[in-house]
Amino acid sequence: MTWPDVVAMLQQSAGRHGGRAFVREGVVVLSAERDGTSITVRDAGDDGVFIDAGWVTRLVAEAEDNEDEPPYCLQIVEAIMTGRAEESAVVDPETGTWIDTAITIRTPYGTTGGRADARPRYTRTLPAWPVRPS
Amino acid sequence: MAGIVSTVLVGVGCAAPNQPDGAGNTAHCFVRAHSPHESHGSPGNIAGKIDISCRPRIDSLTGLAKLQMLQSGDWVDVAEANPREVSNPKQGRRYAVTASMPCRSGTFRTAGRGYGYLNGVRSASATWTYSKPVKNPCE
Repeated sequence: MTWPDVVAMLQQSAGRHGGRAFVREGVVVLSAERDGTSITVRDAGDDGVFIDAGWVTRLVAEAEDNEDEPPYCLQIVEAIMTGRAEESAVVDPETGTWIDTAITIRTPYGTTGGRADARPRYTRTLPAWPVRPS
Repeated sequence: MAGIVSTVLVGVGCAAPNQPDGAGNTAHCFVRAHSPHESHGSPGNIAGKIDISCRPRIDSLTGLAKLQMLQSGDWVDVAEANPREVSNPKQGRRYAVTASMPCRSGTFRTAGRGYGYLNGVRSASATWTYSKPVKNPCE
């Protein structure tokens, strides 16, 4: 997909989820209307897009058009919008010190992050976007 | 948005135990590690992409990618992508995983690894595949 195609796709997605898309060159900020939650998507050229949300959710996702499933970048964005993304602060069990971060994003087609790891952690779910009353 | 700078390809066999090869029970997955490069869309970042594809069929696959930097003769991990697990991947489709970090000087390479499950059995091989090294990818 070209960047303009990606922008149009994200604008439509934001509208479907009760939010808005703010566009400037190479960057789209998707924002839930009522609570200020946002997802920033940047053009990454041949690599797809950079997605930035929450406190530590940062990843590159491809923007390839598929016949039978949405582009991976849209899967990620919509998982965040619908409350299927978690981010964790991993702590040292001895000291309680924050030593790492981790994310888990579940889409209908798989999971990103979520590596099996027994280290203790504090996890929060990125809040689902409020659904606009119909 | 497809583009390949330089790749290294490795095959990973995946077969259920006690099943004869060639009877539809063997899948092969291929990992390609693309050379690190500056992201064209958002300059200022080094991107190291791998892709993994499997044929003829596999139940799930997982792709891992990281960027490594040459330091005092050793390759050191400097960035790691979140692992990507795909359920019921389409045969032959390439699934990409990209590690990125802010630009800095040095010699970098992309490391990729992938494995799959077929009939509940994990692929036997999951060795790392490396791209060709690139000096100062952002210059």
